[in-house]
Amino acid sequence: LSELPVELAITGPAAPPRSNGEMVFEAPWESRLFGMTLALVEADRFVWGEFQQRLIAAVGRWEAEHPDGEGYHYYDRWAEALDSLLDDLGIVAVETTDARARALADRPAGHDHHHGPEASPAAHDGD
Amino acid sequence: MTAVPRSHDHPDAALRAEALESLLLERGLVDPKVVDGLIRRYEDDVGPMNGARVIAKAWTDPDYRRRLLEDGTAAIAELGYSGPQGEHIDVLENSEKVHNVVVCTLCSCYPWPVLGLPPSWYKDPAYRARVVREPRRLLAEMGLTLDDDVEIRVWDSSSEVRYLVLPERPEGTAHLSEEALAALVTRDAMVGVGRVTAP
Repeated sequence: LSELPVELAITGPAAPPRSNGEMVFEAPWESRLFGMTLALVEADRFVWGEFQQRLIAAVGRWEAEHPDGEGYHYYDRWAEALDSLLDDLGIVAVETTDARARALADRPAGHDHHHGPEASPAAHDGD
Repeated sequence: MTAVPRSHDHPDAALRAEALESLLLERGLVDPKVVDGLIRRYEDDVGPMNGARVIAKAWTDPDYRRRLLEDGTAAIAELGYSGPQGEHIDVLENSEKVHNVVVCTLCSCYPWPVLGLPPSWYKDPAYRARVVREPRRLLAEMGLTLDDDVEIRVWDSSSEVRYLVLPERPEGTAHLSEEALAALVTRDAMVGVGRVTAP
C-alpha cells in the first residue's frame, strides 16, 4: 500500500466512531449495489472471491492514482468492480448500464410518483 | 415535496445503480425482494451485537473461550452466526501485554457474521495505511492510548481469513451476567481500536 500522508478525519463520514451507532450505508444506492451483488452470488452467477479480486484491483487502481487518499468512496470502487465482473462474464455490458443510466437521467421530474389518472400533483404534496 | 429522492452527493452513482438493477431485473437475474431482504438483514439483523455475545460467552465460560481461540469459526457457529465473510474467522486474544488490531489493507474485508458491515473509517485509506505504519499513534488518535510496553499486533485480513479481537474483560464486572456483559462490548473493541469499559 502506498504511503498516505492524510490525517484521519475527525468529523464527517470517515471519522472514527466512538460507538456502534452509525449507518451501515451512506446512501440508498450503496445498499442496492450491495444487495444486488450478494443476490448474484446467491444465484450462483459468480462466487464472492471473483468479486473480491475485482474489488481489490479497483481499490488498488484508485489508490495508485490518488496518493493523498482524498475523496475515496468505497462503494464507487464496489460499483467499478461489479461493472467489470458483469461485463467480463457477459451478464451486463458496461455500455448497456451507462445507456440505461442516461435514459433514467432524462426522465421528467416526478416520474416515480405513481399518480392515478385523476390525481393532481397537488394531492401528493405531502409525500 | 415533489423532489426526486436521489442521493444528493452522487447522482451518477445512484442512477447507475438503479440502471443496473433494472437491467438485472429485466433479465431475470435478481429479484428485488431478495435484494431488499439482503439489505434488511445487514442493516437490522447482522451486526456487532452478534460478536458481543460471542465475547461475553468467552468471558464467562472458560471452555467456550478455549474452543473460540482454537477454532473461531466453529465456536462462533455454535451461537448460530455464520455466512458470507465468516467462512474462516480467527479470534485474537488481548492481554495486559498484547493488543491486537485488525485491518484489511487491500479491500476492507471484515467478519460480517459477527460484526456486520464495516464502518466508514475501517474502509478509509487513512486507517488502512496508518494502522500498519504507525498503529500506536493512530490508536491514540482514535481514543485508545496504550502503554509503551504493550505490544501491538496488526492483523491484515486476507481473502481467506477474517479476524475478531477478544478484548480484555474490564475490572469490576464479576457480578454481571453474560447478557449484561454483552451490552458492554463495542464494535470498536472487537476490531481492536477501543477497549471495553465497566459501566
